[in-house]
Amino acid sequence: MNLHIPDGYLSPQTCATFYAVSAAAVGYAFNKFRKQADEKTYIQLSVASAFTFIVMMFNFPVVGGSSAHITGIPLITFLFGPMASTVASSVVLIIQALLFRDGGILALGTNIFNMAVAIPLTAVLISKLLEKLGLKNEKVRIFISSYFAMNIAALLTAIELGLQPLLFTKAGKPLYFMYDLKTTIPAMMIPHLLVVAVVEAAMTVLLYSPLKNFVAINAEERRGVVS
Amino acid sequence: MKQKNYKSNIRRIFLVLLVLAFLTPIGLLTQNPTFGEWSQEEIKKMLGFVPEGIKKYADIYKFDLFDGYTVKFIKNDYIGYILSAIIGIVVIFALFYILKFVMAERK
Repeated sequence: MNLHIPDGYLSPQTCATFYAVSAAAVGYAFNKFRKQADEKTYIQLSVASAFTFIVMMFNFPVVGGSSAHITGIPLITFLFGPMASTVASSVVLIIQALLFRDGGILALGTNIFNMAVAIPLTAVLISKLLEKLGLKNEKVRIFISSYFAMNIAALLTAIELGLQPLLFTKAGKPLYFMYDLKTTIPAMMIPHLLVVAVVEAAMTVLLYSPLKNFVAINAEERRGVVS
Repeated sequence: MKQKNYKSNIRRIFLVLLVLAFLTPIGLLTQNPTFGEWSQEEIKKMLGFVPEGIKKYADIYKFDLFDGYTVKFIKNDYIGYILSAIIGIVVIFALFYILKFVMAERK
């Protein structure tokens, strides 16, 4: 349910692969981000990061007798763009892993890929696609793409966990995570499709409009349009 | 004038974050176990054994002062949760401040 994978659930091979992919992606995002960032951007992004961190602490019950939380990452993506969103959410995930043991250290690369890379990327791609398809209503677009992005993150997590017992066994026993795709996909997807992604998408739409104006005002101030 | 608005906006946002931090214990109210977040004892109960890799890597990282948003020397979970929220926010701000500083130096 939780998108934060702990240590021991993934093989070292899986961890290494995703560390490499995430390092490349976050490095690229940070490089793009810092070129367009000024002092105010850092302040705004620190607030966005703090917000993401806090939102993830609100666990709520979901179908199947489990619990889950939203991430706030789609909201940051639409407010600040995908590069800044990847930077901000990576910072949160690193702090969660190092300080609070929420998500593993070995699994950190994978967790960053699932949440900090996949969510912003999917949200932006789906939103652009919908715009091209002629969906004019911004709110509907944001709702649908946030919903999709969260489910993609859940699906990635389910696949990574579910592949472990298929790929890594010893004497017929699983070495790492023990349930295969038949269990992990419904366990992750049903609560996300029905509850988590809906709550996330609704929260994103609700907060986007008021916060968008705040970010926009500052953007104009920065350009010196408003004195 | 605009500058003043900006400062009051920032202040308002800090206030919202602080209020949210004090509300985080609401997240503790659900006692539902989370899929894929079992301890080794729970896994042993479920399967009859603990997979070798889990035994080997689960506790590879030792720092547990704030393990799972509790604070080691504070008995009350709710206060520990609020403290964790505030500590997290402070660390995030500090990190971005350092980042801003380093990036400004490099320009």
